Amino acid sequence: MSCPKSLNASMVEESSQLDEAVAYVAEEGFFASVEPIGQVEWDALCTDHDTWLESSVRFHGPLGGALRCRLPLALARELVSAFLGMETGELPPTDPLVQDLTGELANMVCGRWLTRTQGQVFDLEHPVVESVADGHCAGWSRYAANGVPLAIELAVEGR
Amino acid sequence: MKPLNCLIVDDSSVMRRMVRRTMELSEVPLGQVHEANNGREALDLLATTAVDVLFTDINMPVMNGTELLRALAKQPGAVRARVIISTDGSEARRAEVVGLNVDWYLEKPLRPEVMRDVLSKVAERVHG
Repeated sequence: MSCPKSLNASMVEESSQLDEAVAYVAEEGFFASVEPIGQVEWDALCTDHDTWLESSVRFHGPLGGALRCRLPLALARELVSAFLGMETGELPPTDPLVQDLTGELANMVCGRWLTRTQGQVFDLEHPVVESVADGHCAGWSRYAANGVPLAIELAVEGR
Repeated sequence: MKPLNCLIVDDSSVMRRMVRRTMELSEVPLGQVHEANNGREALDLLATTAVDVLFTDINMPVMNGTELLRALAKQPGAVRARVIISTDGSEARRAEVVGLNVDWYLEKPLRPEVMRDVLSKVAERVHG
């Protein structure tokens, strides 16, 4: 029988590892500064954005689950520009690279988290990217990336 | 110094662009830089094209990176250097490719200085 206290400690540790994975990928891959934020700051940052993207990547292996990223289109364009050494204005909002980058963000954060917390072989499905209506994401981990909102949800099956 | 001919294999167009950009930033002379969406496309290209260094992802549709490297293990002279670039850096995954002539195993996101180091060593190997 599992102990609720140790489960809580484990979940706190996994949350910390998720923060590390998000910060690592953002800083190393996109030269972006990321910090966890609370609800009030999140709500304030979201008011500036009305077009959002969500990417999700499913993983299978010793654990199954999915990781989802939700971010404003403006942040996706900024990150892909940094990633490829372009000016943000060079990239049309509808450029396929913006969607592709949003998927890769989820892919890299998921891979980093699995590598650091599980250390076993997982298969990651191709990321799925879609437009979403807003930044509403109750219960997700929330961050400010270069001062722009970014939310991540990690769902592990069976929990 | 003879420029290096390269092949980037990844199902993500933005990752191929990123790998190509870090290669260009390395200042190592580059020749043809080819791209493929998956292992099958890579094998088709290698059947007709000389490549010095192969960079491949692992998780890809149609034919994944491990299957590609397994096919290439039967052709030791096909490519001078084989490099994996993957989100999965686990020891278990690294153990899967032992014996497949992999020279470097790199994790995404890829840092430009790591690419410069790898390409410099490939150039030394190619040019003796």
